[in-house]
Amino acid sequence: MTKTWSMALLAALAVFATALPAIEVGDSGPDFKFDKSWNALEGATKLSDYRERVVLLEVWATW
Amino acid sequence: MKGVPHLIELNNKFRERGFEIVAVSDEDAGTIEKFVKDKGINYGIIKASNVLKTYGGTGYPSAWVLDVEGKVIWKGHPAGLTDAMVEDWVKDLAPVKVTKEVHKVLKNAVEAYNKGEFGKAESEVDKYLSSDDPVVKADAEFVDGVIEKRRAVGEAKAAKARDLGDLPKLAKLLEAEAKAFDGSEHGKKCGEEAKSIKASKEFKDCVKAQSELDKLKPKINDMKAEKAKKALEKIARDFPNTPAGKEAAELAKDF
Repeated sequence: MTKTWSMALLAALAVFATALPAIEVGDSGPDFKFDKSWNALEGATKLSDYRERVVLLEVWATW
Repeated sequence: MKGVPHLIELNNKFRERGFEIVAVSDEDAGTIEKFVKDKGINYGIIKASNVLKTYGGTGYPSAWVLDVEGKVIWKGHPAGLTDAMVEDWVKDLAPVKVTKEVHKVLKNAVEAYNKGEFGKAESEVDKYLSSDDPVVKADAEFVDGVIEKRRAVGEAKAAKARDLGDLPKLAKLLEAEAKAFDGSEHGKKCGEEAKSIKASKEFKDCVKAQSELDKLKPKINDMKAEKAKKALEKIARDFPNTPAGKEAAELAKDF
């Protein structure tokens, strides 16, 4: 029982620890590196290589 | 994913005008690759981790639109994106690539433009602006218009940096423009302005202020509040009209 509770507590803490403030309109879009890409802008290895372009950043899943 | 055809359509319509899709998944490369092939996806697909978390998204799919400087100008569900919205965002961008079929004498100009050699494109176009052949003349005017638009985009950016007094950024912008417009009057002008900015006392102050702030920043949280405030205020006082000086003044308020 205690174990279940501490697991639950840990899970709850994990949620809090990872809940970063959302990026809103007017904020700078944080940069990130690409692990791999298909059909991307030639030579681009990170988001900031797209400056000069208007970028639609979509986070998706195949499922 | 029913959103795929919509994104393919946006990609087809707007990619060459400077609109890029960066669709990020953190699934394994094999799964993504199969999906890309099966659906005939022609827009940018990226494998990267933690992006949803970093951006504070709530689920799949989530989307953000970033302007040319990386600032968020829209967020929401990608299905909410319309042609009209994208049209509005790209209307002031110079085309990244000219894809219109032009008369063969202008092929060199278009090729130069597409390589980012705008100065060369301009001198090529100049040869045909007063051509007697109305088709050649019209095509030359078209390409000239594209170059003109690209120049205006660069000038707008430079004007913004000038207004902000951000001389390091302005010098960097002008140097890039000078290189891209090499061989033209505009390129020469940009190069000369960059040179005179870099020789100015104001520019040197900006660089000094930035370097002092950069040195101070990593240490600041380990310093006593009083001392940190004083150090920041000194930078603000020594370099009042510089971006780093203004930033230091802002930071000092927090102590």
